[in-house]
Amino acid sequence: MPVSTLLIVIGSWIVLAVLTLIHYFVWSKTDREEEE
Amino acid sequence: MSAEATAVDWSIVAGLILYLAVVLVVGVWTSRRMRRLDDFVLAGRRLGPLATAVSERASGESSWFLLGLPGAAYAAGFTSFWSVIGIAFGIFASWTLLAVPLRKATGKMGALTLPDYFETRFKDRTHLLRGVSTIIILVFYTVYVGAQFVGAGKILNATFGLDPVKGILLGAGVVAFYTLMGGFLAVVWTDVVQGILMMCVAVILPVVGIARLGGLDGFVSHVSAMGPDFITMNAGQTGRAFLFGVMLGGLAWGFGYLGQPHLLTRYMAIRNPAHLRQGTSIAMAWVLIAYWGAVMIGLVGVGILGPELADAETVMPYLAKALMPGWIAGLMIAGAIAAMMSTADSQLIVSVSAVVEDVYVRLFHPNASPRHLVAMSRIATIVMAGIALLLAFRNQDLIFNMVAYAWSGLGSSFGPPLLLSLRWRRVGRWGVLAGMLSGMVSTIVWKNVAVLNDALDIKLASFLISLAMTIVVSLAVKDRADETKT
Repeated sequence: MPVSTLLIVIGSWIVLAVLTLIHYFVWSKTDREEEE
Repeated sequence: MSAEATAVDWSIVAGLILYLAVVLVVGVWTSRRMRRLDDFVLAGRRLGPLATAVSERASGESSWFLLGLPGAAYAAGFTSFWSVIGIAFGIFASWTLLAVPLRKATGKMGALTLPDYFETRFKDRTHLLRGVSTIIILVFYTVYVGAQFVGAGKILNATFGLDPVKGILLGAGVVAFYTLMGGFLAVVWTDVVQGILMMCVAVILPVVGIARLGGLDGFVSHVSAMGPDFITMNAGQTGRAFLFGVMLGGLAWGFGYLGQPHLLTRYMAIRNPAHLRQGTSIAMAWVLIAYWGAVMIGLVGVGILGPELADAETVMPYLAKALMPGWIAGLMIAGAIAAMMSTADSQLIVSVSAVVEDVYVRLFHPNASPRHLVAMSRIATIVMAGIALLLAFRNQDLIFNMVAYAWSGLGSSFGPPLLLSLRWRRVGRWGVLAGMLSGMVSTIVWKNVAVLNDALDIKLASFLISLAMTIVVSLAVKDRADETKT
């Protein structure tokens, strides 16, 4: 299995997962404050 | 059909009937809660984060999700991941850039539909924005819903040998019934059932398939045997052909998610805008599990079924039959029908709300009673489903091509104007109008001019043209939008 394929398929998955976590804990802070 | 196939099909029918029964019960149950137009169109803005997120995901993916995408992976290999990556980032962008400001703005304005939002946002007394956006919705969605009905006919034909006309009628009948009974609330709750079912299929089939192949090593050796083009991300293409054809052609699917009214209404219907934070995480968890899994269905299918399937898009049903007991295979095939239904019902609701809220109420009967409007919505559902059904019968082969066309048309007509209207203060009424019209026109032109289509992907080209037109015209024409803070 080519390394480039694994990097793109798994790497993009990890990037999105990290972005989702950053969105939840950092970017949407204003919304969280409103909720509270 | 062979005797063996018939015997297997009956157990599959049992799984399918179980699923349809659940959907019909939800339709009847939710019909008791319909009192006003906003109940029918937006479930009274009472949705929680789980219902919002899972129903947005289910209605975002049509039968393409469990048939087309695994089929593409089965035929072309790992390059299918470019589409998945583009789509996943598109969904993330839609939830993070549009959801909160759109919910807040429409809640403040009392807007029930996207045309409603545009007209109120830009204080458009000429009704031009409402008119143009309603036309775009009606044109593209009638075709889109018709294509989903055709999808039902094809699935039922491929699985049970049912006559396609009867399959189309059955699919249309069930969707119209529960939309008619329960409106948006029925659509949302059936979507939740459907979204969970779709995700289960995308997880269970690849996991069981990889185990059957002897684990990851077995899986890798089977897909590697298909040749280097199957397991690389460039499919043997280099330079321009790879960049514009393989990579950008796949990634550009993501642009469409910024302008699909049937998905945007989910954001508008959530009870508390703050819940969109949880909703984003739930939706992205679904994406990260289900999308990567859907491609794996096709790749595992190569190993289990071999590369000889006549129609690549039947890989999911055949894989389910090969790996699962009959009734579970039936439930999984029902998952593909669920994917179709959850898209068709949402599109039907958006079309109905365009007719009732944007035309009937605004232009003819602004003081109509709530009960009268719910009745009108039900009549409109029957009419719209009927028109889509006629289109489905007339264009059984061509209409599937129209899905990509409608996706591009809606994404480019609404995506840039909506995004900029929520995120950029200098956007103006004429800029939004120019963006909508140029998105629609460029999609039509690109589709019909082969040279343009070959040079740059239709989804990317029409989105960029609409974006540029919205910005340039907003800056050039001094008709600034009101300073509504979103």
